[in-house]
Amino acid sequence: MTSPTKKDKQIGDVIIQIRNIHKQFRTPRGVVHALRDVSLDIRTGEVVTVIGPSGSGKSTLLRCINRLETFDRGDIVVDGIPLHGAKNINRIRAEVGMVFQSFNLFPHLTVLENIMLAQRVVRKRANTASKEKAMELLGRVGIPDKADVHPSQLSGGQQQRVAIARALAMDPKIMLFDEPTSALDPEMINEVLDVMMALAFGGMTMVVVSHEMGFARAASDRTIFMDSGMIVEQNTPDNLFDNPQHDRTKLFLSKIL
Amino acid sequence: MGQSTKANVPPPVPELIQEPPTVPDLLLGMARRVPWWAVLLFLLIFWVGIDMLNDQNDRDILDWLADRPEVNTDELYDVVYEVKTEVLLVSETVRVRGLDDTSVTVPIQQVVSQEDGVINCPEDAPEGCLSQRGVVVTYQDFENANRESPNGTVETKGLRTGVVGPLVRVTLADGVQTVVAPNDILSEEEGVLACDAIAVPDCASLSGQIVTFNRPYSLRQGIRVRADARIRHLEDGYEITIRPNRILSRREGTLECSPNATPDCVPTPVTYVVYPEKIIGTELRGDDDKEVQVRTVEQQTVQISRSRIINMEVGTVTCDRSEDPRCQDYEGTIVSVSGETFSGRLSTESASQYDIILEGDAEATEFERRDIQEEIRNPDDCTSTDADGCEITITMNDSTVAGRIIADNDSGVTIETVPEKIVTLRKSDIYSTTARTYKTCALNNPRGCNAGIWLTIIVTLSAFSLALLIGLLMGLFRVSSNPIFYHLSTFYVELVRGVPLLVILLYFAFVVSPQMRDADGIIGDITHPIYDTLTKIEVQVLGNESFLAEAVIGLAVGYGAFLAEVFRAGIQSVSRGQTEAARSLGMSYFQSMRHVILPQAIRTVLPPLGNDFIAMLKDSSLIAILALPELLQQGRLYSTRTFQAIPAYNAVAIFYIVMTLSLSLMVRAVERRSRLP
Repeated sequence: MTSPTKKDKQIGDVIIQIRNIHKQFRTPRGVVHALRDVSLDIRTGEVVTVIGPSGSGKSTLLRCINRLETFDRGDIVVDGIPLHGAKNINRIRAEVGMVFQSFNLFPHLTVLENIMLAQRVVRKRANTASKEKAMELLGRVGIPDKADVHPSQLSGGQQQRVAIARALAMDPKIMLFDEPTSALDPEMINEVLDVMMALAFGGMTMVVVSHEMGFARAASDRTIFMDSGMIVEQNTPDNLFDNPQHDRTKLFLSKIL
Repeated sequence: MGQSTKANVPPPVPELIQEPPTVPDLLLGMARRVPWWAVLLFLLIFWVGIDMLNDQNDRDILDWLADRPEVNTDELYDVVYEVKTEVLLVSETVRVRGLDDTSVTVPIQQVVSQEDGVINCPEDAPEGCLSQRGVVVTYQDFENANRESPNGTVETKGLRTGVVGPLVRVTLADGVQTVVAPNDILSEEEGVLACDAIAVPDCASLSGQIVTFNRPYSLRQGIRVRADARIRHLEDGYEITIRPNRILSRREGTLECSPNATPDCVPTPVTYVVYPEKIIGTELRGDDDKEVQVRTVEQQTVQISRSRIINMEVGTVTCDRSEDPRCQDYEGTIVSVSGETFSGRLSTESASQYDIILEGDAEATEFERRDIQEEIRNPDDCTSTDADGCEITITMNDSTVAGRIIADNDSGVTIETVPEKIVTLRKSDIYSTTARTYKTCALNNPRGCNAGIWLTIIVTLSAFSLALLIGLLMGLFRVSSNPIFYHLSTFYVELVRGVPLLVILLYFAFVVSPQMRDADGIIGDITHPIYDTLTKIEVQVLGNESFLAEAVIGLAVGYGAFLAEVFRAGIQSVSRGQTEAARSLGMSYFQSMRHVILPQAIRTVLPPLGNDFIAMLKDSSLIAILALPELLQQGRLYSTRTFQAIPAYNAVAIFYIVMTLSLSLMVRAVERRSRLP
């Protein structure tokens, strides 16, 4: 039996172009420089994992890509549309799916309604079409029997899989994952990673903030190490993990391995 | 090996055996779910229900219905018909002084002739009457007609004095209003009056009818103010003043001379106007498509002490057709009453009337000389000009009171005069019909009236709906990132929360509402269209103009501030992640509010909203200060009328408790249903 690997897919043109972005947070205690002159190109079909210590700006970078967070200088071009001053930000966001650390499912809606809502409201799909799509995605993430329960009745892993299905329902070109497994019990991490890996091998462009070494090695094409708001080092996951070049990377890896 | 695998298999879990619950268990379970105060509530409702059935007023209604099997409960209500009635616009008047020194204002249409001449004293005139020279006005006198010639009018003569025509009210360039005598007016024309920018720096020019008039040493100009219209009913000569915007149409016409007018009388050009006249009554059965018959009742209660009754008999009460040509005779009791006696010090006397300072009074009371049957003076033949004063005792004429006796006891009788009339209205003339209550409102008769509990519920429901709208809008503004919206709503919340609700109610009733009534700042002219609409609703609900709209808006504005804070807290209680998730899916701000944030926020705020609703139901009693007949006001009226404070306020309290406890039950049920799994 041959399961698909990352070798089977094709890497295409640049879809996310990040050019010299800066981001500062103004807090009562002073200014925090979250991103300093970050530049990055991500190609269609590429899976990029971002690692780094807490506060290194990796989540901020991710959230800048669909402008949940604004940036001060530089520009990000997603699918040919510059984000800086983009009027139709909601159209860009619909093309960029996002999965959060804390799932953020809508607790007042059932699993099915969670997946259908944005399809109906944003994509203006008919009720039947969106329901069909939702059921198909629930099948893909492996919980078609939970369609009519509320999110609070699901386990963490199941909730995160619903969240992935909800993002996929919009047919996004890019998927962003913000530490999707760090709020999960260890026994549930794998069920989520399996879904993500299947997605990666299917050719989805993905940016994943995660410290799951196994996932990074198996599914990602490139791993980026960030610290203090800067990209310190980037390489293929095997090279980065086995043969880090930078002292900061070595120190970080020695702590998490 | 085999042993160990066997030991690892857990023993089968015995299945839970579910027995169907027994009936006593079920009943016990249901009884436990009902809170003890709900039991109390049902007992109270039961008590109040029994009390209502025992109520005299309800019994009257039931008796009344039992006597008339042919009627249905529709006839518990009177209907207010507004009928297009053609009336005479009384524009010009003449001020006329009679020989007895009394002045009357006579509409120009009643004037038969005006010419220079002399009025001579009649033969029976009191001493000291002098013939007078001047412009002699001969006019139709309706007032004296009833007494002296029942089937027509008499003509009275008098000297013209003072102003001819009505005073004209004008607004000057500096905004000050003044009145101008019509003979001072030089010209009138349509135009714009430039304002006096030196006197009033930020004034606006006025446009309208410019009146140029004489003032000592100068000519001045002002804009004519549309005044209330004085109208005279054609059938009975009854005059009233109406607001100019009530006039539906105008028609120019002529008023023919009366049959006994002098030969040189010429028909007078007059203006007829049509206005919606209110006719209140019960609709009678058997009307056809074109006409409707209405029985109008205008009852008046008269109390007569036993000592003054001369005679009482049952008979046909003939009504005074000269006063009301549409009235009909009816069976009733006719009571002859001896005239009352008054005594006091004579202050002034003229040919037609006495002014007497009655014992114990500071001011003089007027008595018409013709109503007096007998007078005794002390000392004899004294006059009002005597230095020592003049004690006088007068006995009024005997009179008759006719009607139905409603109370007869040792002290006297109480008679309800019932000039019952049947009026036939053409359906095409009916301008509007409004249902109105028939029975007086009793405290515990919520069916019979638009007051009491009914009004409390109506006011609370409408005010709370409005407050919900205001609160939701202001709550959204409070979490808005737009600084204008944020500061606007914060200002509103802080302002309104700092002012007592009672003050807000009074403010809306006596500050905002009068301002709206005079949209252009001139009393009695154009009203704000919103004000007109609200007044129409008030008339629909209560049958007359009142402070209902002001009360509802005041309560809503007062509670809107609290609800805004409740909604703000509810919206902020939804985690940021929810917004981010919704926005990351491509929803706009409003879509995420509508589909994700608000549905969750509403669930959080339902308990405080329910509390606020109950609080508003209780606070609606504050509107009693605006004289609205809601529950508390009805209780107060009942208490002051009967001096039975204990049952009155007990009933008020019980009604409030019944309403608030039922609401509490409803709020609990809603909360339980809306809870997320």
